[in-house]
Amino acid sequence: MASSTKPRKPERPGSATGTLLKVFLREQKKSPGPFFLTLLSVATGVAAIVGVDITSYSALNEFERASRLSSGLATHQVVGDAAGLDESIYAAIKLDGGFPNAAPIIQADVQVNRNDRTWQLLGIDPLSDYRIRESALLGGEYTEQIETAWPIHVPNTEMWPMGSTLTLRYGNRQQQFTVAGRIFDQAGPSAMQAEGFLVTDIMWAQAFLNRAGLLTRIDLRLDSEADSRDIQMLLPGSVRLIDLQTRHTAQKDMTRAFRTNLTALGYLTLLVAMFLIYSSTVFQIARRRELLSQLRTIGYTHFEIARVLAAELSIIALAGVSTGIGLGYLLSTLMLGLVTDTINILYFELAHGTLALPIQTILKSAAMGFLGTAVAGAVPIREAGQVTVQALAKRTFEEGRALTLSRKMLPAATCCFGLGTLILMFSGQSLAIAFAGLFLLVLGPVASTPWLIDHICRALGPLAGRTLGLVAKTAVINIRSHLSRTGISVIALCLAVSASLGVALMIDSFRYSVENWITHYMRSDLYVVSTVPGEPHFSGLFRAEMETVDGIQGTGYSTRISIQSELGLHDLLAMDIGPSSFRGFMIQSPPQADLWDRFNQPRTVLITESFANRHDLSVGDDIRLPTAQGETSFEVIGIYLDYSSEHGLATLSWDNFDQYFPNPGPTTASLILQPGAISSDIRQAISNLESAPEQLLIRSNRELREQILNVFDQTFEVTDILRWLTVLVAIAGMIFSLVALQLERAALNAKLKAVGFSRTQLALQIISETSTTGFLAGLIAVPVGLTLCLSLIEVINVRSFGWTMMTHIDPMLILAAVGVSTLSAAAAGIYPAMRMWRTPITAGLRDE
Amino acid sequence: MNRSQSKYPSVAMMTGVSRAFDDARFTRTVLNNIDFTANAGDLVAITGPSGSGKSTFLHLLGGIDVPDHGHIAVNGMDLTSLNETGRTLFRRKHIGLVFQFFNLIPTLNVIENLRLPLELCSIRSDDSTILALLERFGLEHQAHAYPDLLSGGEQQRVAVIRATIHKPLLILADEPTGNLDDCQSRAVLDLIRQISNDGTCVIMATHSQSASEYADRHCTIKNGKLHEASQA
Repeated sequence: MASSTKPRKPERPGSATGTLLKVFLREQKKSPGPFFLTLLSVATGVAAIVGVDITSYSALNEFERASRLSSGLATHQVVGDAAGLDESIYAAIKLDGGFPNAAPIIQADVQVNRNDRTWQLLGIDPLSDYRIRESALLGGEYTEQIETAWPIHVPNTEMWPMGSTLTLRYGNRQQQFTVAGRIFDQAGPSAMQAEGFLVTDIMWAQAFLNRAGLLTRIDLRLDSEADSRDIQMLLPGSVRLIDLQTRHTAQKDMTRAFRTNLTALGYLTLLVAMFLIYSSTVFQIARRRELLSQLRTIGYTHFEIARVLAAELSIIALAGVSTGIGLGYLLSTLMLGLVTDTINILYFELAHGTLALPIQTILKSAAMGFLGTAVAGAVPIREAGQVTVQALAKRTFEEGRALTLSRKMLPAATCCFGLGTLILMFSGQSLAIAFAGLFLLVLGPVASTPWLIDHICRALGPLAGRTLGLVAKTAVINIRSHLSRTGISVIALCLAVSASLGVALMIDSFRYSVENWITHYMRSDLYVVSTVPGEPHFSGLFRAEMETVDGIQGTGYSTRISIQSELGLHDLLAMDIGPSSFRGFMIQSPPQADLWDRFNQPRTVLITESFANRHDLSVGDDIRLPTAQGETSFEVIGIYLDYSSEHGLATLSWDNFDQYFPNPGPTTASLILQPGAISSDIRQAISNLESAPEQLLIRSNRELREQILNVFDQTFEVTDILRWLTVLVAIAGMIFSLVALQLERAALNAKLKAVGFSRTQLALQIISETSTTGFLAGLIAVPVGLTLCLSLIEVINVRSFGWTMMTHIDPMLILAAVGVSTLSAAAAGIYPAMRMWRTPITAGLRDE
Repeated sequence: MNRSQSKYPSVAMMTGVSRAFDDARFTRTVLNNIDFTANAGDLVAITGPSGSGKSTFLHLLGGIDVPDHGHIAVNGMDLTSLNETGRTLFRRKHIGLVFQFFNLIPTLNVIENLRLPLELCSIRSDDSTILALLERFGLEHQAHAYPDLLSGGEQQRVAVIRATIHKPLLILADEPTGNLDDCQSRAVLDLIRQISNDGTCVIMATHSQSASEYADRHCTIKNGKLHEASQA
């Protein structure tokens, strides 16, 4: 009888590739160390890029937001001198010119309720302003607005409820305003986005600021170049029409060098991470040598194996990129405040904005993470697929391959170094290309590290044996034979240590130069600055009274303003000083005996080195500055060293400033005290003067010097975070590869114990091997770090910031770098040594 | 009767094969101008002292290695004319390999290990077929065990089944009993005998006298030359 059950249909065969992937993933699960190292490497590299990118983006976003709130949809602004614009110009533009899209603005820094924080008070004309800001600034809760005298609109009504009162302070003035509405940003009804601004009607603002009939600026929405030409025709000589797009671009450009430097450090972390990805991929392949051999024997082709290894690496890369984006976001929360503070110090006022995670950052970092992983993993995966079955099965293959690789890398490293030097020399003004050259310059010598260690150990081996005994001799021999496992990690460690050392030496040289500059430049004993918002200028009476205070031998005055000249946005410094203070200028241009006399002659100017380098100016050139008489030429008579402004300064004598610019008075006084005068008494006496501004900051030379250096250190905090991140990644990689190597040697250790080595001898041997490897990597990193430091000082800094600096090599930094390298490698030996100590001989032999 | 002259078609053939290796100081010729033929159903034992070239002989036949001179054909296909990928693709379909150290994939269980050659050759098969095979050789209770839980003899029997499951023409076994005790060795050799009796050509390199007694043909490699003992 025929069977009633139908014959079972054969199952569809499983995929051989799927099974292979399953084999590899189960391997990873069984011993996840290399998996996590690769994941960590990808994640850290991506995190560094994401962190820098988000921070830069968010800071610029904040700049855009502040610009948008302040300028709305304005394309141009009409601005006057420090005294302001006459309202009649607004009337001329609107009535005579027939330009309806114009809005008068009065803007000032004010304090609220005696709080230290500065707010931007905008006085607007609502009937005109909607054409510029499309009512967004005052939109939203219109129905909730309160009719009151001295009304003010605030960004956050939770902090200041409707109807509550605020006391605004400007100079010596103060006025109570009533909260009458809430400000909305165009981007959405988020109160936080309008943080930092207070808005009132222009009439109230003029009354409060005592600027009746005056405006800060006129915002314009112009449709064409012809419109801007027509407007120009309506403006008197001292009033300028500014293209906002050009101005914003110029302001953003100021931060470009700073952002490029951070980005370069981010990419350095990715580069170090790539070495570790390579290292862990090589390790994974070495660990699976027998498995791969079996798979090849069964019939898997090299392409099938390589494909599955690549798929496995892609899975790790995906996990690493995802983790890296999360870590990068966390990193940026740490960095945003630091970056904003640095931009505040170096470039322009910027509020602490909120973090944004733009899609392009996610895409870019994901692409870089996958690309970095693919580049780093491609070579070992290709090699794993291509080697023959027998070669794969031989343990000696790895060692032989490493030595061949290290020999092959030597000419490549030399080429890399040469190419990097050439690129650095001939990269023009491009910072990105210069950084690419710098990477190659450093990568060259660092890539030859395994070759150098091999040769150093070959030379030191016999000597170590004769002087330090069997343990040292064996340790040195082991270092050479294990370079196949440790070589790439050693390169990564050397790269990170040399980069960190180079950057640290550059920062130290910079600090040393700044200290030296301060010592020369700041020759006075006390410095007096008015901090009154909006009106920081000293009155003539205050100057006269201050000069009569007992114990003051000499006084100097200065003021600093920002101007937009044909060379872009930059600062102008006017100095009313004597010949003794003039000696504080560190003149870089050829010496001239009559420089001081020429400085006081009409239409002459001193410029800083960074200004000269940035605009390719030299002594004898003319620069055109916007003065009260229109554009006026000033002759450059000297170039001096100055670290106070990255985008440079033009410095005028007080007489020149007085003649060509509106001069409401100095904002800073420098006082030279008589010998024996008591500084604290003089400070007290100045503060007690009737005519003294209400908010006065008086600092001694030492206090100001400390403050400048604190600010200097603050500006490098972000750099330090990224620098240490790179070193930590490299140390993690080094520790992993040494631990992995030592754990592989369990059987060998058991054999050595069996023939009579004591546990102490073996522990010493393990730790000496790891620490010597770290020490040699650190040692090789020293000349590389010095080369990097010199390149940063001589090339990158000149191009980034336009200033030169003295090279200062602190031996302690070099010792610290070698120490970090040695100790991290020594630490890597502790766990294997402890494990060796606890493992009985029989267990080790059984492993074999 | 010598099986090499039997009615069965020739499965493996070597003609004038030589293979030398470069050591640090000199070149060592392991196989020198070897001629060899094996037919379907042959069970050939290759013996010889350590380092005589037994494994090299099997590697050449399996397409793992290539000769310096001469030609190797398996089932009429000249392996020396194929590149690495070609040899691998040929090996996966037509040759099964058994090693002294079992070489089972440690992260796959027994049934997954046995399924692997079938998947590689895209042969449709359900687990019941594999289970039936395991039952035939007394291993059904270990179907879902991982290799490290199996005894040496069990691992080697699984390795032999894996080498034959896709019905290759040629089985190459390198010291299949070198790591086993007498009892386990007998079980493995019995299995190999059965496979040979089913018509598969088996070539086995061994040191073991008892293992070689299972073979129909006995060849010895010495000083690079292959000598075949005449049949009794």
